[in-house]
Amino acid sequence: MEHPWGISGPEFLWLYAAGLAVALAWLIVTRTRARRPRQIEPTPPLDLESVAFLSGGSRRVIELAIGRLLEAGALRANRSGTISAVKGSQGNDPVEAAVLGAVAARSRQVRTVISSIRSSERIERIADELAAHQLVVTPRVAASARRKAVLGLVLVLVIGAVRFVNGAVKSLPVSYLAFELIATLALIVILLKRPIRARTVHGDRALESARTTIADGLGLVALFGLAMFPNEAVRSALSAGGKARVSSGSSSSWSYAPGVYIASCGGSTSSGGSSCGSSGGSSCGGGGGGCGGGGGG
Amino acid sequence: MNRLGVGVGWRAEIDLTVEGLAVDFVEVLAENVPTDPLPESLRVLRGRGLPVVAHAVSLSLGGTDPVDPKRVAHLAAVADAVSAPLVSEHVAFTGAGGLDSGHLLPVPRTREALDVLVANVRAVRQDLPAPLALENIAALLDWPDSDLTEGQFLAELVDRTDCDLLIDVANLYANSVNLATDAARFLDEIPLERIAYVHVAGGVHHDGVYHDTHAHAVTPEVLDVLDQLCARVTPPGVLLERDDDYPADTELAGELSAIREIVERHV
Repeated sequence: MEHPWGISGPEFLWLYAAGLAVALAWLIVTRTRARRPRQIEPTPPLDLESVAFLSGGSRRVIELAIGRLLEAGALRANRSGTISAVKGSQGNDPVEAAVLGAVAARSRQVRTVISSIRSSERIERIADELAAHQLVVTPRVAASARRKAVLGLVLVLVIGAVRFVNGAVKSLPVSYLAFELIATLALIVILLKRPIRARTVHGDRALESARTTIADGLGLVALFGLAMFPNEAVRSALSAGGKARVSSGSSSSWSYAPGVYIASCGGSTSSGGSSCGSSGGSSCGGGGGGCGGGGGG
Repeated sequence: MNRLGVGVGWRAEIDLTVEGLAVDFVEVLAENVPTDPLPESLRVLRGRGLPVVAHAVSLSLGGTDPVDPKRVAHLAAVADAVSAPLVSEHVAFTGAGGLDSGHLLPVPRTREALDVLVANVRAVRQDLPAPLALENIAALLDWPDSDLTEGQFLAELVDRTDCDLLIDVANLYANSVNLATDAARFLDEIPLERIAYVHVAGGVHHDGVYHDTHAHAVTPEVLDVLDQLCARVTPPGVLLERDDDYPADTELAGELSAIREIVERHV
């Protein structure tokens, strides 16, 4: 019997698997390269806000602003885990002002405040600056790398699909091929959505070096979140109070919510952008990094 | 009378602030405090040995309706939970015929109203685990045909019920502005030795009316009434009330120092 394209069914299955392997190799290389841009000049010294963004994205920058306001006495924490604005206090920058605005009328949980501030020009400027030094991947580059990475899989899928239709028309056995196609499609869907970590390898190194130099004060908030706020009473109020959860000191990898400079929380499929689900970790990493603060709630 | 010192109103929103202030006692609004469990902050303060006074606003002691036993029971439960040395409530009614005005309304100063008030106070006292102090309110209106002045009315009330007095100097000042009463005369008429403690609060002048907001800084005029009171008697306790628009910790500390200075000036 004449085989379609001169290749037998089992042979095609093997070839398909080989194609899949090559496509996956392409995927890994593409995604990895997005995080390894050529660095034109060495990393400049980073201020705390940049360290905060590197460590935990936009959410960590907001946590740092909350930390500064708490320390300055412009914000007040209470034992139920909420923060409120002290009468007459004003923020020194747009992020601080946004935080104070969010709690001007009534006190709110820290995580509510963080997710209410979806973005800020100031945070975007910090991120742009870091991106300009190749320390973070921009959301645009990350999204484009995600798409580019699955192109090989799409190509393999298309060839397999043509073979499948051809075989099905000729009433040849196609059930194994069907299984491979479904598996490929599933891979494409999953990997297309799987976020790329926002920090580049240079960003990883810069953060690593910041961790060795920063040992106290608000620097710890920038690195690890409000769970490391210097004042013990405030810290325990914010972390233990009620159902409130602040980030629990994780500074593992994190990634963007789709399309924007907002740190995505947890899973790779968060659709809203800044929603963290009900478990309440506020600045945890997505993309396989694992959520430091999650659980419980 | 138990010496209380200088205190501040404990509010959940500023619990950590209150814990950090140099005060000798605190007062809780019983209606806002759960007893099971008691807020951790109050357990911390009790653990330091700080007296916690239980203050109520909703018993409507001056009302013709019987006092709601559930409200009394809750006040008693809070007082028990914090081992309150004292409980307090206003000489006022909050509604009538089952309607709640949501405000403290002045009791007509007639013999009949006094009889009702005395009966209510006696009934309530039996269910309370600590002595009851009764507070003068700020009124924006005065009932016509009063038999007694406010001072005489309170003097007779505490005499007949054997209760103590909680004198709110901000209310006293408010009445002197809004109803043209005489704060000095009030202080002359009340039994000063029955004062258990004093309330001080901030407010604001607006269109010729003084609003006792508890959300503004304490005014010099209110501190002046406190000064007049302290010139006559050293009150066992003075408490700063702040209920909204909470200022910086340092500002609250400053108001407490100003109060302490006035009290100590006359000792």
